[in-house]
Amino acid sequence: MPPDCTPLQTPGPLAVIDLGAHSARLEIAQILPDGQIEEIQHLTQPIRLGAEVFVDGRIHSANVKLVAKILADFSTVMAECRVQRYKAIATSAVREATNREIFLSRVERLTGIQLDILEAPEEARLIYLALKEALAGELGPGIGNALICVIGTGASLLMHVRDGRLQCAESVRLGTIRMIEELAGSVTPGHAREVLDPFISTMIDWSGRFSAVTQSDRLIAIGSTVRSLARFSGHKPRSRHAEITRDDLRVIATRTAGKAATDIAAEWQLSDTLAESVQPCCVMLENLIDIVATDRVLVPMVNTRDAVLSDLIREVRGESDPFEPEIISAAEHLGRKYHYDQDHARAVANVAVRLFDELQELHELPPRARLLLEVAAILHDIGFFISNQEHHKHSFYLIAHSELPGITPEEKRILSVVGRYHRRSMPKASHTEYTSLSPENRLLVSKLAAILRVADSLDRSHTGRLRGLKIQVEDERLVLFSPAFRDLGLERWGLSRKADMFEDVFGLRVVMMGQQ
Amino acid sequence: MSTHGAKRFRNRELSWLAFNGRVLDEAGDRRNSLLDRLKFIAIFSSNLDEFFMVRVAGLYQQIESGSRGVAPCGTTVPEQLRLVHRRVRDLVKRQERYLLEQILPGLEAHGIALCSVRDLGREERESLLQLFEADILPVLTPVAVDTSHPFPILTSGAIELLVELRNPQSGEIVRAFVEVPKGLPRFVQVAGNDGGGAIHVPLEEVIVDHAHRLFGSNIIQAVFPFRVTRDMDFSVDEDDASDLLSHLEKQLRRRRRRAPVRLEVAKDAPRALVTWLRDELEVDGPSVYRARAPLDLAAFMDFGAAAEVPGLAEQAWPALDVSPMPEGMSAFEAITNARTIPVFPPFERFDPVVRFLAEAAVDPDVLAIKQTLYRVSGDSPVVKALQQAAENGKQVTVIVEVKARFDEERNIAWARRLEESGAHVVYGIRGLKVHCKALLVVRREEGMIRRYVHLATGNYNDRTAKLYTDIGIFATDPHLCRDVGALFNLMTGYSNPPDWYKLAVAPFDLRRTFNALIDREARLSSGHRPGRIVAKMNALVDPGVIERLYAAAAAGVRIDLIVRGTCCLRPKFGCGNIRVVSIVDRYLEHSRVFYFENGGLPEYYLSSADWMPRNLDRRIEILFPVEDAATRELLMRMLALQLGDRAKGRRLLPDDRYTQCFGRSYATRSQRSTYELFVRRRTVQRHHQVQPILTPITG
Repeated sequence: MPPDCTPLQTPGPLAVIDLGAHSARLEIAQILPDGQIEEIQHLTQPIRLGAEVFVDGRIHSANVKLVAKILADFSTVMAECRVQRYKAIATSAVREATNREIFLSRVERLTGIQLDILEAPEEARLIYLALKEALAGELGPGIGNALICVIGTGASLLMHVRDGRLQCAESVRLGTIRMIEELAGSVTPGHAREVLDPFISTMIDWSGRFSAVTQSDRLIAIGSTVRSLARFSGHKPRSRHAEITRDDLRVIATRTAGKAATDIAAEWQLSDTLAESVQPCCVMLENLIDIVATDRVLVPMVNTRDAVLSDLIREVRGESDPFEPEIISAAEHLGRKYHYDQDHARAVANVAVRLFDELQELHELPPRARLLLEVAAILHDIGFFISNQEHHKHSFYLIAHSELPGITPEEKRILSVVGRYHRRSMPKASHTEYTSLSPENRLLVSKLAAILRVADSLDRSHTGRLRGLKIQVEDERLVLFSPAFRDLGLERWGLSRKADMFEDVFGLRVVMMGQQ
Repeated sequence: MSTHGAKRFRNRELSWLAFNGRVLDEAGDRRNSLLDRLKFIAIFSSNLDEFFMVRVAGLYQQIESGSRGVAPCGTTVPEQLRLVHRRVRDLVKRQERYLLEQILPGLEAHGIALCSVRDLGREERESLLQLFEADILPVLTPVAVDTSHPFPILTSGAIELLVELRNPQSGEIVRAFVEVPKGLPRFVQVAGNDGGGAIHVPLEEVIVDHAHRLFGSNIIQAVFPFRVTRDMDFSVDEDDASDLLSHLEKQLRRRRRRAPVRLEVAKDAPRALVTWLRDELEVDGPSVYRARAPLDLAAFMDFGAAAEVPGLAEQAWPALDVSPMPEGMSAFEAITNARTIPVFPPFERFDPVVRFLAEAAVDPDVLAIKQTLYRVSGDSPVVKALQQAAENGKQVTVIVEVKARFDEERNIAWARRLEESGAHVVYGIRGLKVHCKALLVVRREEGMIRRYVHLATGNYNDRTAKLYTDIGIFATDPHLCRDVGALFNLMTGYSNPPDWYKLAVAPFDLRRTFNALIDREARLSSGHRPGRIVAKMNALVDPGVIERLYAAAAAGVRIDLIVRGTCCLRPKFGCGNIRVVSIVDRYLEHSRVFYFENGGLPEYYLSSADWMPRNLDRRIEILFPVEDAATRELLMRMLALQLGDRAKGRRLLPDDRYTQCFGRSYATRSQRSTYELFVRRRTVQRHHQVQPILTPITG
């Protein structure tokens, strides 16, 4: 769960540290009285974590020390500006390192800076919000139908947007440097394409199989290498987005063909890592252009660091998360993937969030829990895709193994367990998926599952006839009053089987009343 | 460049010597006062010393290393050396003529005399004996050369006496050296002469006169002064130096032993002894200079200044207060109000910079101070303020360029002192000299971080700020401040260079930026509206930039270059569109100002860099834009005055010679006019400042 955010009067300078696969960056900014954001400091240091992790799977001691040195310098600069709040995130390389926990703890001990791993779904959320903002001038508020690709050195992220709503975000273990490292030996200058083309198209095809990416109207690409390519395609400095055409890619490919990375680095004034990435990135983009059947790539000039900073600023200002609608649309997309009953899911979700809102004093849960409840309500029945038998258990593992943008791994566990408890057994000591949660999250799961069960039982007919439902707490009862219908037998039967958990968790008996 | 053939560039060394010739012209200029002319004699010598220590030494190094390199001008190294020695001999002859035939007699007529000991009366010599025994003798250390004492290491630049002695008993001949102590005043004022004027004798003559007291019963057969100049140009091999500072200290100690590149001897020195010296020092024939005048004429810098005889020195131009920063107002408030405050030393006082720092050092809201220090004066108030700030708990970061030539020892002393007070001292960047002049103050105001910068064309040196014309700018522009912050992060090794908003920084993108600015001018130039570049700097050497200027001139761009010193550009390749002027006057022209017309949207820049390869490729230098309208107007007017200077501005002609300016008039003397411009401006601003009070209060 993101920390509970209380807006501060004068938050002072804010900082973001971004430890990526090939560089560490620090950005310090402040919110001016007129609401504008002023960049105060921007530091960047090269560090080759990616190459090491993609090959050996771990970060070696020398690099731990180097990271510690860089972060200690960053920390000096932060202290100089009296930074009060910061977010320090580590992306792909650290995320994949087998010794990531040891690495994080050593870095914290040496520098006092607490690094968090930026997991792919969270990265998707941040990047998506940042790119939407960057493209607002070009595309207006919506993105239409688009395929978004965040090309990293170790992994990439594919996002599919339909009618301006995010459908899915999926990370693929396909990054520019990883490709070179994994295909080491087979990629020689001049022959990169022959080797990379099939590799890339297989990866992308696989990911696109369940998503209508081919129906996208446009291709949007992000990543430091993509931005470098945009610069060579005549991008104006400081404009918020750029375009790379198929012809541009061809020119770049011709100009770099047969050249060693060090020569490209010198000629184009790039870091060695970026220079190495140029050719694989070109090949990836050309493949994507073919898939989307377009002739150009739109490049929003945003990076992870900017995205994290914008998010931190929203947090400091106490603004709600603008990504929540996308989480809902992605959950619905996931539901469709498993042929869910859309009307039922929506009806249950509607009732569940109404119960959540009306019973705020009772459950005392934060706003984020409302979103989790809604997502759990949308997905609670997807287990039917596997089998009618024990479908709640199938829902559990389908949710647990799906990628949901904007949902943290811990939240996903919560969602899957809530889904599991939408029917049948209440939590037991033998349920490890439940007992392995923290005490707070166990309580959260119980509260959400209790509400979800009531909502689900009210739409037994799966016809969504609960419009105008009135909710009241009186004596030791939760009274649900449906003015539109007299015959509530089905709902009452449902309640009799499912309200037990609610009574157990909140101490209220659930009563259904209809038109007299 | 080979495609264009050689000869498209003037020879760098000869061009520099031509500059020093212009300095010498000032010593010969009868319009100048006698003491000012004497100062130019001293400056000429001091410049020439440095030239030998660095440039001539460099040529000899090239010969020794067997390099067969050819300068961009197409001249080989031996040929350059031949030309250099010939030119220097001519110049020194001229210097001696001015000094001995014009200036010293002129001063004597005003009662300030430099005499030989031989010319003194008995009483006066008597008084010198007392002085010798009390103050001089105790610090003299004669060093003998014989079979058991090898030839000693002689200090570069010091005046030495060579004494040839004969033992009256054995008849044995012994040679000895006596170094004239640098710690004593070079010119000794003779007591006993009646009031009004002053008679001086050179210190070395006093020692010669009493030299027999140093050698007991030995008989002095010959004694004469001489001076050795050594190669002082060394580079620090930083890859080998884990601790740059101690490595540098070691190098400095070794300096005493470096190869001699010049031997100056008194004109009447016995030939045999000079030959012996030459052989021992391993100096070639052309490097031996016989002097008619006293040695080390740089010592004349302060000669006669104490006499205070009216009319002997040009009236001072008292430095003006920087008006937007009045006394009593906080420097931070003043900068915030004005947004941009330019400072033009020495026409204006350097104080605001010191004041700004001193205020920052004690201001409780100041969080951090960062500064580059290249050459700072002895007892520098800048260093004191930084020390105080560090002691007050501010984060003080100082980038000290310990490699600043000839100032290394002094710089090491500052560096150590600052470290002791808690400042974070960074000794430059590996392989690059930090030459930019930048100061950044980070302050917390109402919960916000606010930054102030001061960027300048010259060093943070309160002494040179009285002699060098530089331009500094105080500003709070957030983009500029962000860039300067990034510049410091770069220099402290905290970060790689970012995308700059406003700065261009060498060795990263400064050359590219200058190229782009020149090329743009060429591109925008049309017959109807020719492009225009005005560039002012100390030296123009870089072949790449010069070729671009030729190309721009060919495209019709009108180019005015105000280059004080070395200029390797040859106007005859400028298609009639390039004019070069060099101004040598009482202040040393030091600012670097660049104007590009940009098709009617003019851009003004200031920089720490000259157009020389070392500035563009091997140093940290900055170029920053001037966007404040009032400052731009001032720059425009200053440049116009300089381009119109017929009193002290010399034009470089297509035949590579400079015009002389021995005219009578001072009417178009740009430094004078610039000073007057500042006086008028201050009056106008004062007038404006009182205006609001007179505005009727309505309502």
